[in-house]
Amino acid sequence: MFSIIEKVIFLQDVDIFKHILSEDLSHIAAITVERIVEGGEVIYKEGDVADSMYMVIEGKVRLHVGESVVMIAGLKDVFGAWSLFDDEVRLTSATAFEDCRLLKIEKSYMLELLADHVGITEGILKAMAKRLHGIARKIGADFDKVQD
Amino acid sequence: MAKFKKQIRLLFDIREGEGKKVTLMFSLIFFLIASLLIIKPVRNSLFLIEIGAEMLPYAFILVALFSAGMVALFLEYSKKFHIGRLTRSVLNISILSLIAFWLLLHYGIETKLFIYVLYVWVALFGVITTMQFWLLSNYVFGIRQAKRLFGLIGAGGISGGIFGGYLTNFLAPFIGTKNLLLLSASFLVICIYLGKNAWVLYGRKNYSDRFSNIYPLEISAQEESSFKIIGKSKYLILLSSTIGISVLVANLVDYQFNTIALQNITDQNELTAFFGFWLSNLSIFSLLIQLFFAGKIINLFGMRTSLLFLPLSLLIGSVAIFIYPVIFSALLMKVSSGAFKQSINKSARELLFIPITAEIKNKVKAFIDVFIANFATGLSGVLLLLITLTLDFSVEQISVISIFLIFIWSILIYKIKAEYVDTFRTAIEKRTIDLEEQQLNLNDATLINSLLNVLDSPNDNQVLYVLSLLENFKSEKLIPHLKRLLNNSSWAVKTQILKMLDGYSKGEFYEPVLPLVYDPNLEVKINAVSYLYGNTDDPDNLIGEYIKDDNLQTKIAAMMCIAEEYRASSEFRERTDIENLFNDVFSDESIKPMSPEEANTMRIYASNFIGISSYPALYHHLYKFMESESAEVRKSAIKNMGTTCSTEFLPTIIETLNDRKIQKYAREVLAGYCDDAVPLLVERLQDTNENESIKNTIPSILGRIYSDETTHALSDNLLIGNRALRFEMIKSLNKLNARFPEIETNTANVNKAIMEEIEYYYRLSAIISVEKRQTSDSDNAEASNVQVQARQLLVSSLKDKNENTLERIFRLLGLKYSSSDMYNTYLGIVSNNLKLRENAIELLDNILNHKLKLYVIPIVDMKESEQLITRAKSFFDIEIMDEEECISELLNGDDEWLKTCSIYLASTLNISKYKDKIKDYLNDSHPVLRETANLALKN
Repeated sequence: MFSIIEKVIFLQDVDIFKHILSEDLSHIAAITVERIVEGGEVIYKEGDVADSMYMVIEGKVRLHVGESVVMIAGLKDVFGAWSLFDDEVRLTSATAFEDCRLLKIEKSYMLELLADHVGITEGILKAMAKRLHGIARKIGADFDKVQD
Repeated sequence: MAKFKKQIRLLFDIREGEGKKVTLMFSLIFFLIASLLIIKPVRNSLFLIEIGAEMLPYAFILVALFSAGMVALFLEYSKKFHIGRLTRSVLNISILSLIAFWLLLHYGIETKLFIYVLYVWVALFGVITTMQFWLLSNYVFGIRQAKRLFGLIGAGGISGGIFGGYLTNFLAPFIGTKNLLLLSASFLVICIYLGKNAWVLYGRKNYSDRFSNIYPLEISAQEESSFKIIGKSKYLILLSSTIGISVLVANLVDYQFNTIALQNITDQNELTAFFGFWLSNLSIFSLLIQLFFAGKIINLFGMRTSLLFLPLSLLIGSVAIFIYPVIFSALLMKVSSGAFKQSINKSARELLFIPITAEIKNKVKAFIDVFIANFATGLSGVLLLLITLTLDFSVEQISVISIFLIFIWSILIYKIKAEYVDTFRTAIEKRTIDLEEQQLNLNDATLINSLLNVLDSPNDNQVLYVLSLLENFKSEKLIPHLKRLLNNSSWAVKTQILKMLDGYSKGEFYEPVLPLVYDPNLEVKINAVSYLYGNTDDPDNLIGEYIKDDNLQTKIAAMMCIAEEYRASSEFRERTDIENLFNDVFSDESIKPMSPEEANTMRIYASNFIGISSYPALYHHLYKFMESESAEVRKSAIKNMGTTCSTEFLPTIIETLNDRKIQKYAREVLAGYCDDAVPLLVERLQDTNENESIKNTIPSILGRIYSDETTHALSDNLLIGNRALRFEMIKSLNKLNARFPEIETNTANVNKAIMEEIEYYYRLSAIISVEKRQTSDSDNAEASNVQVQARQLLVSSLKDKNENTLERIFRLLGLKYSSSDMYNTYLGIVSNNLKLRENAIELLDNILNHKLKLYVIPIVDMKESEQLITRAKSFFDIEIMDEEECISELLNGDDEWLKTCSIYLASTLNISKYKDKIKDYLNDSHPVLRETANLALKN
């Protein structure tokens, strides 16, 4: 089991938390729960209430809609993160591809944390803005290619 | 008596609980203006007899010059001191001045200089006291109340004018002109009492609330001057020109009136009485026109024609003087123009400000009202000098100039109408008319019709917006719309309409409102019951029935109505056993059979009942509700503790600052207590045994109470506690500093804190350099992965801390220098844009004093470089350490997170060196530090 400080070290490299101060990460670490899942075990199903997000510490997780795979989440990848920001049900299912160690964050705890720590909210928004910039840039490049 | 009171309330749309504050403010403006109208005739007669009418232009110029200066000074002081204190000070100074003037007159020291001083002083007194009265009114009345009641309060001023003028006319021949000054001073003594009560009872609480959302560092760097804003807008240019030219003509007319009066009356006391008598008559005409005709005229003719009434009356008067320069013509002109000026023209002129956004209005209204008006007064002085001394114009010939100016004035009015409609149309489309700032009555027929059309819109938000604009518009035209909208599906629309029905005949709405008592929405129910209660012949019976109603929500609505009535009416208080009523509905026995949700709803409304009624014998219930498991119940209890304004709740509310679910509300409530909460909050801030999280929230509360006491409390305690607490205190000081830049902070403490933070920055930088070296060494050596990670974590944490320290340094510098300069510089320095950074450093280099420059420039210019470490040694004697010394220093420091990271790193090194120190943290209150210390020693 990770201690809080070890979780902080892990969270530092997780994309969505990269812009958060290390001390603030300790607050996030304190609300995470470690979860062990066996290969083939279903973590959540499409249509389930989206009430938590996950990060992969060990192993791989398959995100899929029916049988078609959307993504394989590996070390330090985050999945189910949108659950934090909308009230929609899960759009994909998540099944452990092999034995996995995951860090889970409950939406309700995270929202409380965001309300209390402006620094965390700011860091997450920064990360999301960067990601959107990246997507916009990629779409722009693809559009240019099509134009050529 | 009660019936009479009710009639008065209905007539002037005074609602429950507003009687006392209306009486206070009405009396205050009554005595202020009465006092002014006593000394104005005294001044005028003294000036005309002793100096002569031909010198009036010089007096106009002097008044313009001094008014501009005094108003600027007053506005500066109003930033520093709250309006309650300012009102008292100005009135005290005025009383002393009046006594001094009386003494000088009494002992026959009537030099020309003295009379000029008196002339200017009276003009300044008029401008300053009325300005501060309206400022005070803005805090005494809520925005909505202001919209409704300012007309009535204004009538208090006119009545004071009538009273003061007639009193002067009556007394001047008996007691002599000079003794009237003492009478005026005695009226001001009454004003001090009234002003103090108005501030303490009503103004003080609103004062803090209004400024609670201003943040210091968000000040726009490119704030435009009022002059530039006006220059950019055709509408504002026309508006300013119209007002300017009206003041110019008014002064020419004043000159003519005074000269003709002096030609006919030569005795000083008679002249004083004459001015007093006619100023009173003028006020009576104003009052009559304002009460009975102004609204109707504006409604009937619209804004443009209404604005033309004043120039037209002046035109007639000027022509009369030109043909027959006798006292009758002068009176005709003065009284008719004066009456229109204070009534129709004033109301129509205020309409011109409606389409301007609140932000622009705040910037330009004072500028137009003060600067443009004073500039025009000065200009009239120069013009009069030119035409009377150089061109040798007679009194009647001045009319030619007036007629020419009136012609230009009328053209401006014609042009402004087109711009007004365009600007208003754009404002409605963009919704830029700020309801919270809007304090005027809508009277223009064109606008009302366009607004009424919007009420047919299917868009509820638009309907609500227009209803809010029409809140104080009472007209038959609105009745069918209101009746129809009472059946609207939106609860918000229904609630808004129920709040607007006061003042309409009960026959119109009583029946349509009845079914709303059974509306599914509680807000609608509460407002419906409240309306019915106020409009039935047997209110006690009605409320009694609703209390017995089986429907829980109807019962609650009835109780809320009772609480409001209890607070507002002393008669109701005397005949009502409020405790009994409370127990009947909200007692544990009554709530017991209910579901948990229903029981909690009842507790929430029980809290509201106690808050509204503020009946002390019920307070113990609020303490009980604080023990509820439901955060909503606790939240409601806290809010209502604040509503009672009782300081007995302060310790309880402070304790809840630790309750994450309701701390936000506790902060708001504590800030609402204003100065009453400051001593206890400061005491808790200084208490070394106080819970840290409570302590850390106190500065933000103090930062929302805008007074010099809070600024001093924060800056005096700046050096206590840890850095997290200091950061909170600095943020609050920044906020206070932005609002009241003149309040002096404890400079010695600020300087000390700046130097301490700078030293801390250098110290952390030195440790970072050591750890970074260790990291690169360990990349080459046989360091374990965990050790590398632990070191990296420590380095990144140290860098984070230095970022925080840099922000603290700049925030502190913002208390010493311009906060906006420091904020912009800070943004530049932390920016990734190299050019911005360079510019920021350059700016800093030019702003800071030599000593600070020496210490701060290396921090921003040599980030974490070797040169910085060399400076650390030379400035603060910070030695170059090894890793062991660095860890020891951090373990002995005051930062919990750095201690945690150091212990984690130590656990990957030779732990035995630090064992003794780590043992100290095995039972620390910081959970992560405690856990890490335990793990480190276990491994």
